[in-house]
Amino acid sequence: MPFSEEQVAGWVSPDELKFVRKMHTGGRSGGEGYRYQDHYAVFRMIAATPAYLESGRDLGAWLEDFAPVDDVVLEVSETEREYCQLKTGTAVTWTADEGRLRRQFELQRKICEACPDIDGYTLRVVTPRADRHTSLQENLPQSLEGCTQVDLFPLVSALWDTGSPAFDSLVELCAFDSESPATREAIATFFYSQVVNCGAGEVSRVSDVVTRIREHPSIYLRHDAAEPPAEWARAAGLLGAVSGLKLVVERGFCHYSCGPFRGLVARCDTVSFARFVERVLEAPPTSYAEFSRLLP
Amino acid sequence: MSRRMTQWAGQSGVFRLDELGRSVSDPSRYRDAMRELGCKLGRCLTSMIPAEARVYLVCTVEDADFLARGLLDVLVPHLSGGELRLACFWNQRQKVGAPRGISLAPIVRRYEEPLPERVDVLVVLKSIISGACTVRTNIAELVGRISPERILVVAPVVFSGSEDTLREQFAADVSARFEFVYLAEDDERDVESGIVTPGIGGNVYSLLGFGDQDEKNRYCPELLLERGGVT
Repeated sequence: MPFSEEQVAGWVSPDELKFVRKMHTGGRSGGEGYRYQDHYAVFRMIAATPAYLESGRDLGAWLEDFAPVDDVVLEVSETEREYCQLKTGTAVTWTADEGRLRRQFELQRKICEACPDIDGYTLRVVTPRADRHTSLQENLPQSLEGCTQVDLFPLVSALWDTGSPAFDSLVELCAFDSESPATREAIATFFYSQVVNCGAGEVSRVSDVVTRIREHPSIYLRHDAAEPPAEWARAAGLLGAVSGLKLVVERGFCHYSCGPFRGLVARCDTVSFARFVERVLEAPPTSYAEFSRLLP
Repeated sequence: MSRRMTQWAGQSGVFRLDELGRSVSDPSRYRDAMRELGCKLGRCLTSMIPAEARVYLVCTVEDADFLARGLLDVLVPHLSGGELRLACFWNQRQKVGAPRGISLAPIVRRYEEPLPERVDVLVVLKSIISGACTVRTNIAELVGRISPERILVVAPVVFSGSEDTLREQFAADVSARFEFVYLAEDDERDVESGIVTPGIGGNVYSLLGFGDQDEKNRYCPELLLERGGVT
């Protein structure tokens, strides 16, 4: 959970508290930096989702904590956090503005060391600029070694685009049609919506987004555990009579193609799929036109 | 409420849009009126697209048998030395999240004729362009796979400002290829439903006799069955 001012006041000096308060009241900046911050938070959540689906390891994220390094905060586990400062400027260094960035990170380290709820932490400065990445990495202050990383994260217009850092994870998450930008966008949008609608003091969790997507009737997140009903094998045999029709069950979903047509039938463990199977058994189609009329 | 007719409309465009408005209580008549509007738009395109062009047309499922069929009736014979191929998408329009809702139109089913090696003109056809979400999705779906020299966004009616809204959602090298062809621009939308007035007379799904979005997404257009070579 985000820090409160009262908590932080117990761990830092009055001068340091004043510094944090001054930064905190600044709030979020607009424009490029604003989008970059959203995209980075969404990217980290998307990147953590395949692991969540495999092992149940959740990730929480929030923007703007009462902390000196607070653009994006990630709760990796109950006691492990990452504090990320995002810098899109062309001139960012550890020493600029009287060593402001260095001071932020040193103070964040102090807070993390003092907080009894935090056992492990990583501080990150994230930039889209290769020259800043190199400079920040090469000039990392000794006082921050061991806990601070410098990351390169590009400015992207859409996280679902080919070449985006989230692309591979989104492909992994799509139930089908992962080559379709619209399919990847639909999944990414749920994460984006969660982050931008998250109120102050609230945490966006991968588990919540996954639940919301799975409750949605037309967004298809992979669902390996969904098994088709027992009658499916017989229905699939009957559907073999439709010339050119191919049906595939994978990642818990059934989808089809027939010449230029393709699409989703349904998730295999849903009522709509069971009803589709029933309709096929009742009146087996002999043409694509008949098959299309049986789709959910 | 005001409507601005464009240079494409002419007298026949005004008449066709009026006829659409008169057909709102009769789905069969409305379908015919939409097909006639497709023919009208097809005639507009014949003056813009050379006969030898390779054209890829994308439409939505609700428009395929009516607006798109009318447009094809005119455009296909015009392309004597060229070619026209068709894609049709079943979009599921929705809003995700609150208070900042984000509009989405994922493609749940699709019909795609093979993409030619080279596409000169991508024609994106829609009965009305309002929030531009569906049109954006459908352009984005194809523009990464084909690299058309021109992208014609075609509709009987658009909502004021939707042209800019659409352009803003693409990189400059893509939006620079956009050309808009529409008969009328309206500047009023119902606050509750978001439906443009007078627009195309209301909700196109129900006016065409589909009921709602789910029902239109169960529909398989005859045009696609004919062209797709499946029975």
